[in-house]
Amino acid sequence: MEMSIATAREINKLMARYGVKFGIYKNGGFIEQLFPYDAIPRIISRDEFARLDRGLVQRVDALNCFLRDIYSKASIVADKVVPEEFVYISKGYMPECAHIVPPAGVYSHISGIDLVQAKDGAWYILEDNLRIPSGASYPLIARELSRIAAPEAFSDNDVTDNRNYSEMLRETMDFVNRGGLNVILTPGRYNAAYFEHSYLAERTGALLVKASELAVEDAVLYMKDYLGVKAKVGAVYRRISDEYLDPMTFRADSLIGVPHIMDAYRAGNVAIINAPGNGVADDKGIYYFVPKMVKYYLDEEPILQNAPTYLPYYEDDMKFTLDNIKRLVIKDVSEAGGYGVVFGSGLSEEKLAELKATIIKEPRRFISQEVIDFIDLDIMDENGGAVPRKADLRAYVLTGKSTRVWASGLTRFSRVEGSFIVNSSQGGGFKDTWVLSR
Amino acid sequence: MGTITIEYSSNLYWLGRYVERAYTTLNTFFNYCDISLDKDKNSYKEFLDKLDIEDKYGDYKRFIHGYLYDGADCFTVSSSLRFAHDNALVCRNVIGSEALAYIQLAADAFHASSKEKNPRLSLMPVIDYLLAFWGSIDDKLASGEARTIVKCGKLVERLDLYFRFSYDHKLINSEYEKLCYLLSRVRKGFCNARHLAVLVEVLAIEESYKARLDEVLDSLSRLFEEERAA
Repeated sequence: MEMSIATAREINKLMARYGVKFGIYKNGGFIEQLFPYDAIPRIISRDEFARLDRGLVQRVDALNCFLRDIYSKASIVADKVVPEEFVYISKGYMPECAHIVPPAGVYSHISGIDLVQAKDGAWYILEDNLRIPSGASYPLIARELSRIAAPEAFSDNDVTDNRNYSEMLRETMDFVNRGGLNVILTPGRYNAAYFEHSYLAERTGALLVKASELAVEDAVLYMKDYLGVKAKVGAVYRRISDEYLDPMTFRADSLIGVPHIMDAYRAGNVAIINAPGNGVADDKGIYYFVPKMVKYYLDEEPILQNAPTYLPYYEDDMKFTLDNIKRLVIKDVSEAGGYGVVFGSGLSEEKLAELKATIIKEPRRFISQEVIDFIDLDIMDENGGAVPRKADLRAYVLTGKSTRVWASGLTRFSRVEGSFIVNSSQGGGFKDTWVLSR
Repeated sequence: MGTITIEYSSNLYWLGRYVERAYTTLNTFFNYCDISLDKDKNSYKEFLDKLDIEDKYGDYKRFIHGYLYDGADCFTVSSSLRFAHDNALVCRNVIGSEALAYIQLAADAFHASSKEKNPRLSLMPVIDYLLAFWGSIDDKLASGEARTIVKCGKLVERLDLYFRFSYDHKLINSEYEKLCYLLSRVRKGFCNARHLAVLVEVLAIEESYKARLDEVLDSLSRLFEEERAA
């Protein structure tokens, strides 16, 4: 796929025109910057995507079963498939959500599953994001703008149109809506993903609101208009994390949450997308058990595999981790966004010893994984030449009436040669993901 | 029942005001620049005086650059555009990405013009983009209520500036009639009846607004605020 530097510049100019930005807090200030976009797309063949599609649907269905189970009978714990230590001390487990069944029984409506492709072509799941997976708006608008700047790229190739994401999202919201408006709840203008919140609101026709514009009365959530007239809210796509969602239930010091929204949710009067408490299922420690969940709940063999992962919690895995730490990547299960990820190969002997001591002291806090030498994708350098960089793929899986995979995704790449860290918060860029239709 | 919250109504209203402030002050500024070419080099002082802005510039050339581009001064065109953008950004889902993009383009063209020798020429695209913004609002904004609010902001700002610059009574009346038309389309309770009555009274008599300028500006600025607060 050829893409000229002039076309790439045109696309980036359009990105600036439409304010495709993300925010970061740096040196005590809030800065908005353009998300570096690379015009050379990742290309996934139709057959390859079909396999990914099946595997992702299977995985997300199993994760939804897990959440339903954990917050009710917890049979997977009783049957000793997942040790209870991994569930109930997870930071993502919310005892306040026990025995609440969300509308239509859906917990993870929007799942962001991070994958990498190894050099042998095999795909590995690196992480499940079931709380507030962000990023879909970037490839969505990038495609829109690329079609303007490089129409021939789309007329000459059979690329599945990915501009149906907002429609899929709206259908997902409508499916669980308890009667009333669809709203997107944002912490506000100074949130890193504010562009995404406002863009998705525009595209889905949902209202973008802050907590101060919502109120709960008699366990019903309302939005108040500028003259004080109330309208019932039926579904909230919240972009606020669990602990800040409702100061009456979670953190009392939250100023961005909606007091008593959990009462409305508990009473079945409003859907919260994604359901509170999902963090227990995307905990890095729980990740190890997802293939087991597929077998346990669906009685199927997992189609997609995890990266080889070890739990120092288990004696054998502890020994393996300590013996092989130099070639493993160690992840702190409580961190996210690329933080808390340490490559053993990059540590001095002294730092390795410190890390080993910490793992021995807090085995539940870490997982270790084989470093997957995932493929490099070409990105365009400033002279228009191609240079290889590590890239992953975040696939978006939406669950409403059924579970569907968006035929696209967010391909993130590292801008630093040899680096495996692709997160935007750490300087990574993104590119479009083409799924070929033929 | 509308779907515009208090915050949106405020953002939309101020979006209209700041876009109009940038647009009308730029045009008025151009007029004063023109006068300064071959007549009075100090005419800019009158311009500042009408806007209740202190002359911290000292001379015409410093005024031109400072009044346009000083982002630290909240009275400059640069600040008006920034405030317009701030309000537009939080209304993207209401006004649409296209309308927001015109504000972004206006701001970009404005900042690019600061490096040019002839600001009047290089600022012309800014005017074009601001007009395109209004075209987008007229053509694409789905919510009639939102369109009315943003245009109320525009007309309040325009009237404010026309009053300050002692524009012709007929011209003011024509803008006022447009505002009345918009007010007839908003829901009861949005507009403050008491302050509207002041405008009605003052504008009924030609030239009377000059004698009661402070009063009319005060009522104009509170035409929506108090009612919303109440």
